[in-house]
Amino acid sequence: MQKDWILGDLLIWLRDNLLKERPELFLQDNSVRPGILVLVNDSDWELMDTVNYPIQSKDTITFISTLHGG
Amino acid sequence: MCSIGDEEFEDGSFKIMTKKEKFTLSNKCNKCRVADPCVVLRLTNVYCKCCFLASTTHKFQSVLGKSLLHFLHFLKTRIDLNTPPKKCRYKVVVIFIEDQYQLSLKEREDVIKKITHEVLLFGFMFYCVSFITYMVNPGQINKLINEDLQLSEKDNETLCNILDKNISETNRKQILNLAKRRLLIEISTDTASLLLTNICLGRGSQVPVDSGFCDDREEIKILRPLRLFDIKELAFYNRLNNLEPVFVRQREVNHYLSVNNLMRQFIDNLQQNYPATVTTVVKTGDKLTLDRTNTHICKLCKSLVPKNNSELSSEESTRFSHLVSTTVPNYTISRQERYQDISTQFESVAINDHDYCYACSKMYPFIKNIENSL
Repeated sequence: MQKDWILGDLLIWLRDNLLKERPELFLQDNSVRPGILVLVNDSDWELMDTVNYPIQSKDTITFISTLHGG
Repeated sequence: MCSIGDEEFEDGSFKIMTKKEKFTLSNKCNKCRVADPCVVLRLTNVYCKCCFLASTTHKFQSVLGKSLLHFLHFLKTRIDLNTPPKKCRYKVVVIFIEDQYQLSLKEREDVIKKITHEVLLFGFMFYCVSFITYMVNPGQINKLINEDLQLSEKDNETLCNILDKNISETNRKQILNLAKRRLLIEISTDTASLLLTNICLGRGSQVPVDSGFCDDREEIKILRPLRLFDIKELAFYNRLNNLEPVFVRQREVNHYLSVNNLMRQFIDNLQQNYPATVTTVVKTGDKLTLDRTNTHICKLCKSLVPKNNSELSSEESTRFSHLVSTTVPNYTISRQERYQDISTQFESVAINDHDYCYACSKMYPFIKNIENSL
């Protein structure tokens, strides 16, 4: 049986496959860096046990950085 | 030894903090108790979309509303007497200070283009002012906003040349902040770190104006209606209203380079782990008030300079302590004479300059060539 993908797995996948440089600006320990908000289907991921949330088919996951001046 | 309360800890069960239960989607909104939540604030409150948007709007209005009483003289020209109390009409003019020197010329132009687009979409008047032009040709903002914005790759270099080469990063930031403060609106983490930085730098007396709701040091008053919002609230507000904020890449920060950076890191960590404490810092700062009987005003930061009284200020006490600790006492004379000696010596080196406050007097040597911009 295929293993369920949790959000923490996605972060590692993003680091290994999409990030081109300096992963420390996105990740810290096993989570996102403080200041980056994660939304699952437009809801705060803190409501879903953050990195332990099992990703469902058609989920929309959004990363919002608050580490900018805009 | 007092043992009141110790009995509670005998079995060891109270030594460990009870683990807080995590929020789940099955929780209901703290406010309406009906809808599903979509955001967790300060690790303690969950809100649904509707209640979150209503409470942020209410918070913004109440900050302005409460302060209305205190700043009536300032706002009276903007109150529309035909509308219910607490409602004001504003003429909005947005001024953007361009100082993104960490970006390339192309990126800077793009940022300005995006911001102009966003602001004009709301139908507000918009002006863009170059910070470096202001520093090179100090003058009224009113004159600068009518000039065309000119960006150059050399802007950062020009800024470095204006400032003294030997200046520390802490002083550099203080000087730039003084120059920018006229138009900046800070949000709460900025306010909290600014508040603690000010205290560290000997600007304790300026806390009420520098990080309070209203900075009324000059003719143009700065209000900070967003100071009680945390960055997460603002980010969610943007997201839930489908707003597209303009992202600006920030320069990499070495936390140990300046007091400002260190305080920023401290507050950011607090925000992450104990978010309610940031509000406590801001609220505690609100309780500090100015002694308005002071008549001396610092030439640089325009804040009130504490007047001399019979008691030594903390700065004077430190200097006295330094003098006593570094002077070899003359034991051939009596104790009273030794005291008289050191006292006379202290008075002879006392600074009676009321032109600058304590913090600005430390910075003064570095700003001689840009004093007019500040």
